[in-house]
Amino acid sequence: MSEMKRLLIVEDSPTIIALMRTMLKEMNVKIQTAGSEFGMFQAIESFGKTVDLVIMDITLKSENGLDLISKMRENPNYAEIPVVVVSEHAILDFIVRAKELNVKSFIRKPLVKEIFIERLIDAVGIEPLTSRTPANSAPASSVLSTDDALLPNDDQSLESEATDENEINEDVQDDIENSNVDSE
Amino acid sequence: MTEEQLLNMITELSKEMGMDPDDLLELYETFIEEMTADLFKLKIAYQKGDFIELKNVSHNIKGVSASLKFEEMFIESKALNDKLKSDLVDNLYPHIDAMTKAFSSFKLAFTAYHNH
Repeated sequence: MSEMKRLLIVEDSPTIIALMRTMLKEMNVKIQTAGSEFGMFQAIESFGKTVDLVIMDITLKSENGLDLISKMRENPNYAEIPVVVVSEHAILDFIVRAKELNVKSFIRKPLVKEIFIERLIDAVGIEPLTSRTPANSAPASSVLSTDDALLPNDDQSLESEATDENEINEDVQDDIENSNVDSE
Repeated sequence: MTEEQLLNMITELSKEMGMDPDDLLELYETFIEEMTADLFKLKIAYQKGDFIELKNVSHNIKGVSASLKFEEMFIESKALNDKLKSDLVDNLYPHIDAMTKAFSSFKLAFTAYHNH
C-alpha cells in the first residue's frame, strides 16, 4: 500500500495552486496551502510534525519564499522539513541561497507535470494512488487553508521556459556549474 | 479568441497533464476568477500611478498565463512587466487594454465551450 504524503504548498496564486492540485490528482498526497508566512506556520502547526514536504514559491506577493524557508530553518521544530522551491527565475543568487538553506530541489515555472511529479518523487517519494489505498484515506488534494494570490514568469517564450526546466535540477549545485541560470 | 483556439489551448494543456480536457474546466474557472481580479487591480494601479503594484500584478499574470498556455495574455503581460522592470512607464496602457480584450475574448469562448 502506498504511503500518503502530506504536502504544504506555499503559493499565492489560486490558479497555480489549482494547477498543482490537478497535477497531483493521481498521487497519494494530502495537500494544504498557504500564501503567507502566517498561513505557512499555521498550516505546519495543523499538520503537526508530519509535514513531509513544503513546496515553496520564491516570489510571493509580499514575501520572499527564501526568507520563509530561512525562518523555518531557525525553528528546531521545522528545521528538518524538506523543501522544494518553485520559480520562473533561475537566478544565481537564488540558487546559491536555496542551496545554503538545504533546499532539496528547484522546479522551474511554467510547471510541467512530468517534471513536477518527478521532483516530488525524488524529494520525498510521493507515490501514485493505488486501488489498494484505503477508501477512507484523505482525498488526493484537500485544501485546508489559503491566503491570497500573486506570481511570476519570465523569458522569451513559453516553450523556451518549459525546455529549460528539465536542466535546472537534480542537484542545485549542478545548476550553477551548468550555467543554466540567468545572469540578471 | 475563437472557440477553436480555446480548444487548442485546452488540448495542449490536457496533453501535457495527461488528463481529459473536461477535467481542466475547474482550473480555468479559477483562472478566470484570478485574472478578473488581477486586471481590475492593474487598472486601479495604473490610475493611481502605482508602478510597484503594476509590476507585481503583471508579473503574476505573466506566470499564470504561461502556466495555462494563454500566449496572448503572456505576451502582453510580459511586455508590460519588462517595461516596468526597466523603469519605463510610457505606453503602458495599451498592454493593459490588450490583456483586457484577450481575456474578454477568452471568457466568451470559454463560456461557449463550457455550455456545449
